[in-house]
Amino acid sequence: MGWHRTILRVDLTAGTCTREPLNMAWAEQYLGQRGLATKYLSEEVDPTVDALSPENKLIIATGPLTGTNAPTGGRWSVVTKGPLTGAIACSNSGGQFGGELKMAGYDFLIFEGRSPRPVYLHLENDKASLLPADDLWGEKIWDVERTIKDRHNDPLMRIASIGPAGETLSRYACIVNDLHRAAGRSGVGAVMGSKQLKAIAVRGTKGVTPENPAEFMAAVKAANEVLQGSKARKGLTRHGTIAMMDATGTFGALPTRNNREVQFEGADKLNAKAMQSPNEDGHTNLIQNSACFACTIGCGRVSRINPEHFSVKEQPRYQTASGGLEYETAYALGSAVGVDDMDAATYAGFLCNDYGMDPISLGGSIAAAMELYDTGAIDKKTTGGIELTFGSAEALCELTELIGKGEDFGKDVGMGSKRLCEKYGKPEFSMAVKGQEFAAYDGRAMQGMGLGYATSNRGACHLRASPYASDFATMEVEEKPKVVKDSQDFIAAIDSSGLCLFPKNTGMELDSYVSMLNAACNTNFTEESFCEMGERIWNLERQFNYRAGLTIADDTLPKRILEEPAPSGAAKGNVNRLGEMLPEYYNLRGWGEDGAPTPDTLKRLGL
Amino acid sequence: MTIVEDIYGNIQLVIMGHLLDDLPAGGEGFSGENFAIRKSMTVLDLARMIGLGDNAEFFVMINDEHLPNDVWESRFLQPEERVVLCPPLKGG
Repeated sequence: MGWHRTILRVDLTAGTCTREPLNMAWAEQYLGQRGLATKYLSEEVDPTVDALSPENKLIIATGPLTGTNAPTGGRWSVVTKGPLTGAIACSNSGGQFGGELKMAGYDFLIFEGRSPRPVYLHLENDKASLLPADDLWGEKIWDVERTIKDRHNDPLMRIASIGPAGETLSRYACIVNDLHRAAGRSGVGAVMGSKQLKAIAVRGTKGVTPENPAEFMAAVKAANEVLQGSKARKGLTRHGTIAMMDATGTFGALPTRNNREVQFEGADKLNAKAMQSPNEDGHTNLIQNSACFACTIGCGRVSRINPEHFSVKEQPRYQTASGGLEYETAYALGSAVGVDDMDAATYAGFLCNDYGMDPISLGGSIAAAMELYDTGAIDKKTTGGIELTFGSAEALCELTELIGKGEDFGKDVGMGSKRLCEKYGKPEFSMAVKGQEFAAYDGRAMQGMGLGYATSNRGACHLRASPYASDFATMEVEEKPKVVKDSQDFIAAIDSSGLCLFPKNTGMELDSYVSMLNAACNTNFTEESFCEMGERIWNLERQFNYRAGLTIADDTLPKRILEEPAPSGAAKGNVNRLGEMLPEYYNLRGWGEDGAPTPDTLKRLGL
Repeated sequence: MTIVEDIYGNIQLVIMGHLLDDLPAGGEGFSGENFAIRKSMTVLDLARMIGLGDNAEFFVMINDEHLPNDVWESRFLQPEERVVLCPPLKGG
């Protein structure tokens, strides 16, 4: 069966772990992972609670295909109320942890309350225990993983943990698993830190058995054959997501220097070719690609910084190979801050993995700080002596470490660009939606992405809508609301399945997802009902946000994107036309003028 | 490589990303070098000529301006233009 039908509820206040059955009536409506965890959160948590209070809950969720050999079947999610946005947070990760958790026999872990002292959860199949983590508190993630594995004498144990950034409650702290995969966005690591939960260590040997094994294996084989022949898949395997740098840079959609510009003169030092080519010292950044559990794509990059580079010359810890730049990190730690030094960006990425920080929000927040510095809103006295100029690789590295430690000016920047810019009187410098920083696409050249950012339930995000093909084809906005709405729905469904979005992005159609799900779970999904489930999930998230106090006014973009024309590229002279797109988007969604789902819509979706 | 007779002029042709992997001739010579075109040649003609199949997905920039997909068949290439073909990746 796809589900183990088992939840482990962990009361951190009382120090107890209790198994309970998964609500299968809800699972039929919301599947697993993002959707089903949102249902649990909506039922169990008052959306108005302080995200960092004991009343918030942290749900670690797998999907029915997590832990199977369906291509990319290793996904897992963290769902909670987000401290960065005040909205629902759903952060998705890969690596090996999700598959291992499922193998141990659990669909969900629900953490509630707050532990009186630092602890970590140790799971070994049915055995669950909360263990002291006083000695791990303050430790960085790479050390935590090694220490716990040594302690249990189990090198194959899989671990998800927070670093110092989560402990000091940085609003964009993340949860890192397998050293360099992360549930990265919206500050889920700070929620974990607020509960004094340092890590989850899991070892599972139960396996996951589909309901109809022969049918399931046939569906998996067919899906893998599609991916095997896909040119887009081959490109992703060979070049990684960083290949996007050429596309957005050429098109004029590459946010540069806090979205002041949309093309970066240093892009060719941060692209796939640069990653694979020896530099003047003969050093090559890329070591090899890597894949998550059951993944047949392998988009991950493993990189090594030149040992002579200023960032690591005195730090052997970071001279080792680890998770390299993806497109989003290359943007956030590169063009967003005007830095064209690939090794410096890689080092900042290593720090994000080791301290437990979302590199997208970190880069966006540093970019905002650089604009504050550039315009004189802050000075060296504020930054603690850091010369915070756009393009300074040294400043990027120094400030990233300060944010990770939660010290000095790093504490301010660790609160996110919205709070930072408000504090220093320039809220318009925050390139964020609902308080969450932009991903690596400028909404003036990519009109659909702008709409996707504005309406995303978790704040600005490139993985909540998929208008890429439409945006690169035309800047006319007529088709964008439907493209955005439809993709938001099918992505919500995919995010609830246990699989990754990238098979869809590289040629695998929704019917393959549906075939594998039906074989694994004895369900009767059609493509249409699969997408309708995604629509139900989207509306449930929307309801949570409205109950939390968000309104139609939060479906917007920064003034810069709406009023300052793009200075170059395909959209030169243009701004985002959000006002033209939103009414049709609401209409397609079946939402009223207040942006809330109408009674008819709620009834149609069974909400 | 197709030989162009009746040369109208040269464009600068740049092909990016995994589109290079799709070309029968490989990726050499498509990073801004001169490329001969004939008169009344469209972007679609160019793509077919260099071996990109009809199903290949890419966007087109000419002299740093976007060329919408719906005019690929009607817009003629001119000598000295810089033409970039780039695959529209999804996600990152």
